[in-house]
Order: sequence, then structure tokens, then C-alpha cells
Amino acid sequence: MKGASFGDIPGVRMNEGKSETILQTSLETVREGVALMRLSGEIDLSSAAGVTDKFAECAGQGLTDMVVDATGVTFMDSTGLHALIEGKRLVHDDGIRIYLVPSPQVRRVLELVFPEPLFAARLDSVEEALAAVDGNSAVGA
Amino acid sequence: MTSPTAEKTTGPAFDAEAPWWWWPLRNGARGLVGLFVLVAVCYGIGSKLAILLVEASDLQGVFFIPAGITVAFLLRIPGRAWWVILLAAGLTEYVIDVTSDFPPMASLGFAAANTVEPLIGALIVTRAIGYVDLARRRDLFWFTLGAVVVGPLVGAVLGAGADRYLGGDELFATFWQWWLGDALGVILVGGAILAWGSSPDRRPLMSPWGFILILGSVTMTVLVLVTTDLPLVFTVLIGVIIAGALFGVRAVVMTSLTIATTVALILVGGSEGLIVGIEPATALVLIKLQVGTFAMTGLLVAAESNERDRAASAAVLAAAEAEGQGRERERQRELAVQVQRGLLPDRLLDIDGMDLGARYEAADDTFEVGGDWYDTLDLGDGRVGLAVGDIVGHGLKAMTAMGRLRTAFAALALHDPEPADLLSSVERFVQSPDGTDFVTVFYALVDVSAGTITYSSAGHPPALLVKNGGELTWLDQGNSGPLYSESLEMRHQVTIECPDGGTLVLYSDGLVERRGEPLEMGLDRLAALVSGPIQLTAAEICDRLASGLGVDESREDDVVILVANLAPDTTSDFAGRYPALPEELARVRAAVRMWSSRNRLPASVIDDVMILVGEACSNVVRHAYADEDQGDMEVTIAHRDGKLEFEIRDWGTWAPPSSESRGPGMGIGIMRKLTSDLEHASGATGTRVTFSLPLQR
Repeated sequence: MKGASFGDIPGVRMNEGKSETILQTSLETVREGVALMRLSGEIDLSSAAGVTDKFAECAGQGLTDMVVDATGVTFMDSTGLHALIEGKRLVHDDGIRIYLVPSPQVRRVLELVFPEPLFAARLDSVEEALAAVDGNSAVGA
Repeated sequence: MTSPTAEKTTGPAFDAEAPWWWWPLRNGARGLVGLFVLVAVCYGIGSKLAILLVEASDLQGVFFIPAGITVAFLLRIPGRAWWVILLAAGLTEYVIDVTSDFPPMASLGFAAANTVEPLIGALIVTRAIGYVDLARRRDLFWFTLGAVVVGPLVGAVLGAGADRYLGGDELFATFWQWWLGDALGVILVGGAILAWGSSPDRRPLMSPWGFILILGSVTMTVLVLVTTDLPLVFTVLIGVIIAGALFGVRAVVMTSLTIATTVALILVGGSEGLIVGIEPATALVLIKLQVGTFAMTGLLVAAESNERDRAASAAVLAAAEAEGQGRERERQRELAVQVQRGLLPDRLLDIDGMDLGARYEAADDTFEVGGDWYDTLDLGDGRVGLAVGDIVGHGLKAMTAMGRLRTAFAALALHDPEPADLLSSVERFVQSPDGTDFVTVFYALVDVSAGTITYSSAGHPPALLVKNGGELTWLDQGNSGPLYSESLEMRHQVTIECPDGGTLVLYSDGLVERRGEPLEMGLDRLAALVSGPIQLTAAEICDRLASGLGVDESREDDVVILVANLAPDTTSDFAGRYPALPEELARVRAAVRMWSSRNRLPASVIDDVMILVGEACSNVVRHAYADEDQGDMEVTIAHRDGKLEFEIRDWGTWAPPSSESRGPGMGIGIMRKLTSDLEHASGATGTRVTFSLPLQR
């Protein structure tokens, strides 16, 4: 029960830093040509544009691979999925391979819509995704 | 002689713990004899040296050593032993004078002069300041005034008078030589002795630099006197100033003493041409004045730099102390809060059909951290005990008493679950040696299956019940006074019906009480924050109350909040109406999630519920009010016959879906994957979208 877990640490504010935005995004370069995009929170009509914006930042940067860490996404609807597809289209011309690491909620929506994998791979962790990046690069070379 | 100044004297204590060689200065008769011998020997040696120097030269001595010895002894020995010192000095003077073939009357006069002089000097100094620290400006002033100027002045008058008996006719010259000679003796010899009980020097004289200082000063003095090149005198002055500024009083007196001794020794070899063009006696007076001025200058510089050091280190010490105190206070508060947290429950009860949340916030001030507590107790048969209490008082005592009381409370509740009985039992504990002074408690026994709340309050502010419809009820019956040692009160309890759950808010007075305003105002503020239907978890309600009532900013008192979302009627539907705006979607989902978890739906079902409601509402937000400014959307969910029935309704006109946008199509597609009976009915008053979700799949 959600409420009960709050009581585990009496007096500690559990939702400190909770802001008006329901989605947090960040982008970092893991190494040359490989970017890691982190998404956490909820992706819906009010926040989906934030996802597309992050993809737009990646376009034309000479990236070869992108890992999208969505393990922190607790809700995503069709608008969010649409934003991911739009994002994929934005970086399509760069030939960037996208590795998505979904949360159970994201995986559920993806499975409902696409029986076939939409992204280069669906993986369980960022580490797995980065290993996949290395594997593909080695094959490519 | 007893003197009240003795009490002011804070010099070395001459007691049994002093080293063996202090024996002449010990208390008691043996000590007095020792003191007598010591003073007599020192005085005798000093006096003989002075006479030898006088006899060896054709002039009076440069400085009279015994004057400094006597006054220094007086200033360092408690007043009750002064008579021994004065007796020793006077007798020695008399004996030496008589054996030096002076007439008895003259000898008596000299003896009197040499005892009255230091006595007056010492009296002035000890009356004014007590213990003398030459490295302090104030002490140096009184030492100079009393021991250097006034004392020797009186001595010089008496001495010049006694000199008459010797047939001396230069009364005035004798007076001057005496005064200056004794003053110099006090500065140099007295100063040398007193310097060792004064503040230590910045750097030791016993060092290569100290050696260079002394050697340089002596060399320059010799050069001045041999070459009679007067401007060179200032190099000597510089030496003394360096001694004062870089070393300290000990270095100054030792340097000056060395210089004066050098002068005296050179004078033994003849005083002709001491200062060109000036007769030797006058020249000697000038030289004495010069040495005295140099020494005083050095002492002033030393005192000045010592005072500065002292002020600087005092400032550093004060700053360090203030910083230390601040850190210590912070540490104490952390510790107090840690203890308080440790004494509160580690976790809340996890029980079916009830969502519990609690917050404890310690007062900002360490000393205000006190004895607020809360507890949640499983009493079996679907009964849950909720308690909030406040032990009157603050600090560690109140906290530890709280820890004992809370434990006792929890244990007694198993035995006497009925609130009135329980409070009576707890009161007996309060009155036991393990108990405490004064406690207020609010205790509610919630019977989930019977749909009742039975409560009793012992002097505690009333709990607030927010019924499912949003109606507020203060639980302000069942009152009695606080629990305390002499209390004989009957405890009352009241049972209220609460069939459809609701939210119960318990708290301590720190949440609602504000200085200078009636309690009712705080209660009103609390009520305003929870009125209306609330779709929040218990923990979220705690947070809303804490931030809404200013607990997050500052606290004069401890604050405890305990919130229970009581067993919801599982047949109750979800119903919520929201503005059809993108930013409302998250609120809708939060409320639905809350309702879902209250209905104890499986997590996988909740995820699908979120998707369905999310998509349906998202559609409404995007399309229903395309032509209007803004409208509402209403979400109802009913839990019937093993499935959830949804209805999403709006009052809009719906614009035709744009063919370019894939979004809505995809949304409907997702919904159709999850539900098989998606329908929508549009009419003049808006659109209803209905669908259902089976719970067993």
C-alpha cells in the first residue's frame, strides 16, 4: 500500500523535489557518438513535447547510437508513443540506432501497438543497451 | 602587617606544593625567617655593589640596585609578610651604613628612607591594581607612577635629609641623584624581577637573536661613551625598542639592565669627558635620564604589542568559541531529533482496507524538541487503534518519557482496546514511577467491519473526520482532562457511525497552534485544507497539511500528523469531474490510481486502467472542446460483477478528427486492444464513452 510505505521513515518527506512537471528528461554523451537520454515520470499530452524536443537536440550531432532509458517512466499513453516515433523520425537521417530500455508500463503500451519491435532492441537495462551498442559497432567495423 | 590588598594579589601561591627552593617564601614562621634572610642577602649584595661602584668612581652610582629589589619583593609577596621584607631591608641598610662608617643617625635616616620609599611605591601599585603584569599598559602606568616616580621621590627627600648629617651641602644634587638612581634601580632591577611574573615574551631572549640584541646594545653603548658621539645614542634606543616590539618586557629590562651596567662599569674607569662641554655630575644626571627613558620606551612598546597580541588571540578565541557553540547546538539538535525518531514507531501498520500516513517534524529549536508521538495498533478482528499524544515539556526528559509511554500504550491497548478503559489504564501507568508528569492523548478505535469509530480524548485537540462525501466532523466529544499524577477523572468515549469510510486526521497542537491567535483559527485552517472530496493518499494528505499549515517552513513546537484513509466501501464508484486541460490528466490518473489501490486491484490491472482512462481523457482534452473555450470531463468507474465499468463523459461538440494526426487513431487502437466493448454515444449535450475491463483474464 502506497500510504503505508510513507510511514516507514517517520518525518521524512518522501516527495521532496516534486515539481509541477510530471516528466524529467536529461541527455548526456556516454562516449564518442553515443548519447544516453533519460526519461522519468509520466508521458502524456501535457509532457510528450519534452520527449520530441530531446530527440531534436540529438539530430545533426554526428551520433551513431542512442540509448533511451525509460525505466523511470511510470505512465505513457499513445501521445507519448507518438512522441517516441516522431523522435525516431527526427534522427532518422543521421542513421542513428536507437536502443530503448522500457519500464513495464512503457513495454505494455509498445506491445499493445506494435507486435514487431519498433526500435533496434528492447532491453532490460542501460548496461545491456550499451553492450548492444558495442556489439553492433564491432559488427559494423 | 595585614593589608586588604593581599586579597587582590594573585601571584604565585607559596604553599606546600612549591618546589623545595621556594622554602624561604613559604607560609608560616619558617617561611618568614627564610624571607627575611633572602631579602637581607639580596639587599646586602645589591647595596654593597652600589657602594663599590660609587666608591670606585668619582660620582654617585648610576642606579641603586637595592631600591628595585625591595619594591619587587613587596609587589610579589602578600601584604601580610611585608613587615619582614621592610625589616630585612631596613636592618641591612643600617648595618651596611654603620659598618661603612656612617654616623648612626644618618644610617638610621638612610634605613628609614630605603624602607618608606618602596613601601609607598608598593602601596600605590597594589591599591590600584593588585598583581603587577609589566606587559600590560595599565599595570605599567601604575608601576611607573608608584614604584618608579613617587616612591623614590619620597625616598630622595628623606635621603637628602639624612645626607645632611653626613655634612653634605649639595642638598639638591643629592636629591636628584638619589631620585634618578633609585628610579632607575626600580625600573631595571625591580623590572627584571617583576618581568618573570609578567606575560611571557613573544620570543625568548635566550636565543641567537636575543644574544645579538644584548651584544649589539652593549657594543653601541660602549661606542657612545668611548667616542662620545651623541647621535649614536639612538642606536641604543632602537635596540631597546626592538627588544620591546619583537621580544617583550623581559628582553627590555634585561637589555636596559645590561646597558646601564655597561655605563656604570665604564664610569668606574673615569667620567671625564662623559659629555663634552658639560660637567660630569650633570652629565651623569642626563645619562640616567636617558637610560631611564630608553627603558620606559622599551617597556611601553612591549606592553603595547603584548596588549595587541592579547586582543588578537582573545578575538580568535571568541570566534572559535562562537563557532564551536553553533556547531555544538546543531549537533545537539540532530541528536535530539534522532532520539525522537528512534522512539517513534519504525513503521506504520500495514493493514487491509486502510491507507495510513504519518509525519513527525521536530521543533527548530533543540530545546523545544519534545514528547509528541503517534502509533498505529492492530487489535485484531479488523479493529485498528490510532493514537496521537503529547507529553507536556521539552527536551530529553520529555522524549524518553514519551518512549516509555508509547510502549506502555501499545501494550495496554492489546489488553484494553476500548478507548475509555485504555486511557484509564494508561493513566495508572502515568502515575507509576515509570510514568511522566502530564500527557494529552487522542485515541480512536476504528472497527472496519462494523463501520464505527470509537474515540476518547484526554485533553487533546479534536481529530477531524472527512467523510467520503467531503463532509467534515470534528471528533470533539468523549473529552476529559490530560493524564497526570493526581488526576481522578473518569474517561469517556463516544462511538460514531462511519459506514462509508472517510479520512481521519489526528495531530498534535503544534500543527494548528500559532502564537497570539485562538486555537479555532488553526482548526479552521486545517479544516479548509481537507474539505471537499479528496483523492489523495494518507501520506499525501500529511504533506498537504504540513505545507499548508507552514510546518515545512518553521516550527516553534513539534508536530505530529497521523492520517488514516479508512476502509472504503468497495461498492462505491469512482466519480470525478475535471477541467478538460492537458495538465489535468495527471490529476485524473492520480485519483484513479488512488481509487484503484483502495479497491485493491492487482498492479497489472491498475496499469491497464491507467492506459484506458488516460487515452479516453486525452481524447476529450484534444477534441471535445475544439470550438469552445473550455469544458469539463467526468470520469466514473464502477466495480461490478468482477469487472470495471467506465464512463468518460464531456459536454463538447467534438471537431472531426484530423486525418494527418496519427495520435488519436493510435489511442483508440490501444483501447480496443484492452477492451472489447468500447462504445461512444454523441448527442446534443455531449459525448459518453463507455467500456469495461474484466478483472479475471
